[in-house]
Amino acid sequence: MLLAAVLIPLLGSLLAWRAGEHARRIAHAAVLLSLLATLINLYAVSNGGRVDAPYLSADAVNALPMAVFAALSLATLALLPKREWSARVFAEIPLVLAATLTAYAAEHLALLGAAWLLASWPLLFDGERSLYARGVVLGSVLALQGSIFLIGTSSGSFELQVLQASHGAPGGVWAFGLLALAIFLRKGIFPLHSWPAAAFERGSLLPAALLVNGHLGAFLLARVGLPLFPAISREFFPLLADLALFTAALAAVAAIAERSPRRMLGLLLVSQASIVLAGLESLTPEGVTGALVQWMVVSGATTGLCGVYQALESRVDQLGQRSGFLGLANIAPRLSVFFVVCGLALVGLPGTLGFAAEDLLLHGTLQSHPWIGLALPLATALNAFSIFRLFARLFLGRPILPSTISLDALPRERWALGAIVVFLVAGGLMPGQLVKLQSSAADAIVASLHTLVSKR
Amino acid sequence: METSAILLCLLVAAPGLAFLTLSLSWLLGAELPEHWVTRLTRLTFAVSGGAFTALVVILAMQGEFRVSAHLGDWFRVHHYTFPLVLLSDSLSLPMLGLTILLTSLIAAFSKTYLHREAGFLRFYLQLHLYFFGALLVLAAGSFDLLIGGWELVGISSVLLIAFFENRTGPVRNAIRVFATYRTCDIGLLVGVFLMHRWADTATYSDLFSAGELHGTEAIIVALALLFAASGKSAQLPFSGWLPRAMEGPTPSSAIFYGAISVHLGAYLLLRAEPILLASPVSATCVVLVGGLTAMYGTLSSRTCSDAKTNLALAALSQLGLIFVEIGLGLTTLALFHMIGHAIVRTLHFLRAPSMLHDFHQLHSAAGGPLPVTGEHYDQWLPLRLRLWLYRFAMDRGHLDHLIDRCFADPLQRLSSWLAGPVAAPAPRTPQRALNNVAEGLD
Repeated sequence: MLLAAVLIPLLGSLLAWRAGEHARRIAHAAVLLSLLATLINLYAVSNGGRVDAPYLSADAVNALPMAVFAALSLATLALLPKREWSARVFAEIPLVLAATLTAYAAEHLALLGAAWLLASWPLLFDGERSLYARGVVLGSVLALQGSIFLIGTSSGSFELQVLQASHGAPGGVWAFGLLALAIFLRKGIFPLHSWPAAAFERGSLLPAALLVNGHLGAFLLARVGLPLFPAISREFFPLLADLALFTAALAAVAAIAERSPRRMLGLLLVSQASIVLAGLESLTPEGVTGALVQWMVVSGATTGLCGVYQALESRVDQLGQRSGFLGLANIAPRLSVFFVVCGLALVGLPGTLGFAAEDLLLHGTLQSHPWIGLALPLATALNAFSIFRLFARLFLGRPILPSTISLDALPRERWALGAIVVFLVAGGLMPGQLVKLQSSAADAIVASLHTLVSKR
Repeated sequence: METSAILLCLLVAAPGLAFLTLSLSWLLGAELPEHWVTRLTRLTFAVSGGAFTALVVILAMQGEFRVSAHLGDWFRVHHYTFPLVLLSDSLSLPMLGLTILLTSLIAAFSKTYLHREAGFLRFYLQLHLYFFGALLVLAAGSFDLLIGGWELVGISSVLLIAFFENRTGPVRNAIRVFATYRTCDIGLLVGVFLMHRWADTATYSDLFSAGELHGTEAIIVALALLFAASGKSAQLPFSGWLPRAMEGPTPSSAIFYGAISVHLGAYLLLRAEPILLASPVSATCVVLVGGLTAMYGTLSSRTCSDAKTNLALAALSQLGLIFVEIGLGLTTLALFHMIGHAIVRTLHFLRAPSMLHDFHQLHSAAGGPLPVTGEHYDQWLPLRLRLWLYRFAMDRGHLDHLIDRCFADPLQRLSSWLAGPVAAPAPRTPQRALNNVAEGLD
């Protein structure tokens, strides 16, 4: 099933590229089948098991993120406005899914490097995207390839399990430095925190959000950085985590004056996602669980926000350039509700999953990052203000369009956004099961790292 | 679980369930007629009110007005748990009763007041959300859970200020109120974070029975809570949002800014009384903030020409006095003051739309205009001071300008600088900073 989860979207991508008018159906079918396969994998590993395939493995750490990412890809397909439907985009989304799932599950560093490159492919070769964003992503790809090369040539193996069993840091400080650089660039840590905003600025918003929501930087840290370089990581990653917290606050401040809704969404994503690193670095079960839950919240909520915004963009001409209040709640009331719920979940409103994530992050990092107690409330307060401001600007005020026309959510959008909202709200009202599931993943991460640190 | 604990859970959960039912029905495409909404609302208040009455009777028979409901852990990761503990004691029980009584009154009043209004369902949705949040704040057994209710009250309050969404004024004011709320909520979050760091708990029973916080720790936590309470109760320097909040429908103004919501800040301080007692410095700050706010409220209300804003500023001066009482340790007096003030102010707000009619009726009954009172006090002050006070009061203490100049404008400039040339340039006049931020205009 693990192989199916990866190969079906890859095959779907190739078929969609050539299928012309059937591309949409093929992409939907491929992503749906991949989602089912990841759910079966998740069930298989839920009792502490492990699913193996050649050069791939799924365990408690990566099974849930794989299922979440597959679900996000399906939501992205459903939310994509009709004017953006093309064989290319229907080929790209399954490709990003296949590559990201491979990166999550790779047991071989060369495969990881190839998957990382493929996951970045649509952004790297999209002429509409900002050169700055493409440059940063290319930098992260090159840094990772360099690190993998150094690790492989110095230790004679590319297999993660073999490398973990060996003593010392494979590839030395240079390999670690390049790996850290890849994480640094991909996560959008200060001073490169604005690349996701730049990537969001032009072109299709949802595929860009999907790409960023893979959170490959954080995953690289959890799956490769900390296990292969536990000693150096323990020295270096507190600094990275502090920088991430600083980035969270900085991006939140930068979003305040932002006029472009697209850029603002990018900055909000960076701000809320940066906190994930601090949780991972804490190496406490609460902190790591909080980071994993926050990861899911940020991914789900930003997909919902970008979906609503892109739906509005496809209905209202020059939406991003319009100033003042637009009053769209009059003609799109359900979209306004989806927007406000996703937005408030992103900033941790009680009753949504974001609240549980932030609570766990705060308590898990009490000792390792005492100033998270200031940075997190500050960043979320500013982000909440930005979200509400954007909500008010788009949906409140004197309507620019007559209320006789309805531009509300289409059925496919309603289902996709409804599923996201149900996930965020039901997860917030009854977070126990989801937190328990993530807690086992967190335990696996923490236990393996403590073992590695003590062994070395 | 004991019957009293079940009743406590029921009275808190009822509005939450009503909110979920109404919102999900609407999202699924149901067009709910007004009478369905009001029937469900009536049922909700009947359940909450019935559960409260039964709870009071049971507790009276037991002779101890304290009940605690342990609903297990909301979520758990190893040793860390988020306990769901509801508590009703001599402080929260009267407030719970008051909240149920006044909110049900507002719900009944609004049925006619908002009849055939486009946002009828929206109003009741937000009223249920607020009701649930307020009950959660009052019945929470820990500061962690209190935050949940606190934020829900804040967001429903802001959405109701923007109720008349087709006008830009209410929307702009809602953004400003939201900004103030979120800024002050930082105090609550930081305070609770520090409780966990220093006392390893935020549950009332553990925190207060062990007397975990002393000295500097108690001062810092108490000041953080005072910051949060000042935002919710519109104390200085955050008083500017209260007159702006009057843009919402009159019933919501009554329940939020006359009755319950503005008193939640005072309730927070009453709840944290042991921490205040452990830090005389913080208690002094509470007295100072309250005293200055009372002065500010009474001065500003004298130059105010519209009824609702006048009432809001009058409420502010009473809230200031309640803070003074809390700071002086007169907690029972403060609780009675809160209850009395909430009831009287709700009446004032609900009568505000017909105030002119009442005024004329009063004059007719008295056989002519009533004599003006209070002016002789003014004569005691020198003319220049009187003029200065008049200008100060007219501009409501220049508070909005000060906040714009000291906070909003520098933040806007920093943000513009960080975001680079594509972001909005800083506004030319600092007075318009927050408005410009709100709209994203040049």
